[in-house]
Amino acid sequence: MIAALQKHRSLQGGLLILPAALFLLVFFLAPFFIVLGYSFAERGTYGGVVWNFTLENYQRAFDPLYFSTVLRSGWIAALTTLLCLVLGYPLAYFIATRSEKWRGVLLLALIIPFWTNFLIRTYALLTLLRTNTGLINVTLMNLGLIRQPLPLFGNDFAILLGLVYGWLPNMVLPLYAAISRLDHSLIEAAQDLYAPGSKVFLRVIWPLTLPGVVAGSILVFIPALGAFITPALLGGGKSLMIGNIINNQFLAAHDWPFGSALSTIMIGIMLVVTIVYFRMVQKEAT
Amino acid sequence: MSEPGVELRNVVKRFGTGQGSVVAVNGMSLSIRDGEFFSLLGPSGCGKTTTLRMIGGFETPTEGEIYIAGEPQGYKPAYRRPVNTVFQHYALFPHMTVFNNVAFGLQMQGVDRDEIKRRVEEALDMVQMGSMADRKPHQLSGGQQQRVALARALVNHPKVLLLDEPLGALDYKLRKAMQFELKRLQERVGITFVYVTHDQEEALTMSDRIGVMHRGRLLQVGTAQEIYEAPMNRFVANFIGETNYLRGKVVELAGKTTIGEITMPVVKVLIEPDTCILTVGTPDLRPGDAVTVAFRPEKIRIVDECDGLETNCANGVVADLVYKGAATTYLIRLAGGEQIKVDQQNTRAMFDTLYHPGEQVTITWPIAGCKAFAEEAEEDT
Repeated sequence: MIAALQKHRSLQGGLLILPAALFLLVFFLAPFFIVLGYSFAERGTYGGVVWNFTLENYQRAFDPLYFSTVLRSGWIAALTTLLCLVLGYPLAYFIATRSEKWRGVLLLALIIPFWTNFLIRTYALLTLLRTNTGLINVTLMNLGLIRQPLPLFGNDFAILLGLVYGWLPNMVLPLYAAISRLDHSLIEAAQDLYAPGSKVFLRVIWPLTLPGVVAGSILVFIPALGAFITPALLGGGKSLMIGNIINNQFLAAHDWPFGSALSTIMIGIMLVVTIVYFRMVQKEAT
Repeated sequence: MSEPGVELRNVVKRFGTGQGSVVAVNGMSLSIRDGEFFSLLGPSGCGKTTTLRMIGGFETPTEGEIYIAGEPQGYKPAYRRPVNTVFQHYALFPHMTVFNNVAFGLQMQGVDRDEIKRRVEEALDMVQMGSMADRKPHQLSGGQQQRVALARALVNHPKVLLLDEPLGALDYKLRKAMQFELKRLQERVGITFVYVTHDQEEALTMSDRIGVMHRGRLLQVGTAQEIYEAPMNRFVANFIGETNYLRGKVVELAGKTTIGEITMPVVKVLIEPDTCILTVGTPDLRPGDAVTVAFRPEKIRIVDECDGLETNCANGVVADLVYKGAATTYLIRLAGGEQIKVDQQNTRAMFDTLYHPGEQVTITWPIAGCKAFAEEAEEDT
């Protein structure tokens, strides 16, 4: 056994990933195929799943009633990603160019919010944003700066704010890694070759940190698309995302096949967006 | 005579402020001629790279002014200076082809497409990289990357080319080959080269003139011969080439001699217990001064009998020897216990050395090959 391992290097590698591979097989791939299977089945009269093959769940999903929410969720997730990128890139650049001591402190500050449960953090946002009793509106009204409360809650703005707040670190961390790997002499070389600041960024810094942009964007887009706590709490029941509908199908409507079909569509969107994004970026990097 | 290519006037560079500040360059004045191959030579941390970075515009002098082709540079950023740099690790843009790397500077200056193509091809041909235009930097060897870095800088026809230890990452053979190539290239394009290195052999091989730096100061500027044969202080003597040292006392002043264009006094020095040697000294030396006498191992010969008036003599015992192929280095112990290195060329093929440990020998070396420095100058080393 050991002799065979020593002989075949690839076997050694195989052994190393065996635990993780088994874990993913049982707890990731299997549920995924179960969901995929459910999505082509029928709903039983009292919930549950009846194994009759049907495409009806998918037809229903493309009904404008639901599909508009799918599209809107995609739009919100994309906007979240963009906002995280616009806010996160300068932040990551700032952190990556500090002295070693400060980098540690700033990165720590960035991930401290993670120490609190996501649900609790979202509730905290709620107390800030609520229309009549929220801290922001109350303060502004008491100061006499506004007469009517601002529409901060129960709409897409609130969801967007919650999502950006929740997922910004996912954007900043990979960006930080990419920017700190950047060889500073390349920036000096560009300056030496007559490039002013804007050109240094566009021609050298941005293309060389694109892998970080891609990683960060995917790490924000995917959880934002599937979000359900944030829209459930900050959307105030008026503004929903696809995650809430799926949640309802499984827990309230007991329509598992339809919920599965929506989940499968969502996974499909994530896959397509991820691939397209990778392609786009690869082209730009070459 | 035209404007100097680069001129530094009382340049000081201090990093940090207050107590923790470090003076990297300390009151440096230097005039580099137009079209000259000038090397800044010194150990790491001597301020040579900081000096180069100030000329390039990557650092701003704390005091003093830098002139390029007669123009004061002030706070002008790097991208507006008429200089280009070859960086220590080349700093080629990894995401661009060789062609685009070389074209970058011209694109930034808004040169039109056809001319960019023509000039990039010309520059790549000049460094024999014409066939590699479509490669990416990671597909090139170290030597090839080095050539691309050169082409990328020279394609812009800068007034001055700054080179920061550009051969440091290459292996020995390639480095030697590139030294000659760089020198030839410099003569062909006629651009002022400012070359930073810690490798004395590199500096001696290529440069028209060399500036030796130590602890932020410029100690001596001169041709390779001047620096090697007439070092102005103990640090320069020690840093460039191998040197023997003997400590002694000045007995008397014994006339004058001329090396190159410099006239120097000759002094007689007593080495304890009883050896007297004649050596070139500095003008400030007086009888009774404690001095260190420096002389090079290759200037010394092992002889049967001492002959001349123009030479020094000493007796000693062979303590050790090292066979080095082209030469053999003998370690000779003098009567006072000092050890002297002597390089003897192996002019004939032999399978034994001429002298053996324990053997009594006489050594001789010319007066002009010795230099005496006052002892207090020793804090420099």
